[in-house]
Amino acid sequence: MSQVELAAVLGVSRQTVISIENGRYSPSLPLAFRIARVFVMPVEELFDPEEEVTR
Amino acid sequence: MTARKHRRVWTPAIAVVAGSVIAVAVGISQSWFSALISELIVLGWAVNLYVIGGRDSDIGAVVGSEGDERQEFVKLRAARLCLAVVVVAIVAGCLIAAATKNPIWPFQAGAVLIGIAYFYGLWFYGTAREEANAAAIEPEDQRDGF
Repeated sequence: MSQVELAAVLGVSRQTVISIENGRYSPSLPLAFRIARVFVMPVEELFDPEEEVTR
Repeated sequence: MTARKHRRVWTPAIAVVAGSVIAVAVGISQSWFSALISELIVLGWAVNLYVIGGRDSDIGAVVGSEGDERQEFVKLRAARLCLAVVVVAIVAGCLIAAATKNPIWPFQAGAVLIGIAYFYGLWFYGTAREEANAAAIEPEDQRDGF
């Protein structure tokens, strides 16, 4: 799945998908759950709460 | 025209309305030639905003009123920076006006308005909204009880 396709499925911009991938942005809970649903994975496997966001 | 295009028009439209009001004020107080120049600059800026609003970027999404949650957060941070610059400009303007023996009340009025808006924002987006949400949820809870 491309970044553009994922962005369309999640209802966010391509830039936001790139920021999440690069760890520059932590998504809100609703968005995190939508991402987890798309990849059929638990949220805690996708996002590490201890991981620092680099801005 | 789709709803998406309508959203893109909002920012340029606000710029045109605000700029036109200023242009009319310039026309009444100074000259209509100055007002025309002012209006042309405003229209040019509005077209620029419309073009920027169509770009596939964070700036484009924010200007085009189509930002997602991260872009809204970026917009808030940019607004915070903008406010800090406005406050510095008001203080500098006040100092310059006082030093040159010009009236300082427009700067004072601006500072008071910003201060009121800040505390209103703290109240509105803090306790007031939470209380309104709680009040809206309460009747549903009562209905569930029956």
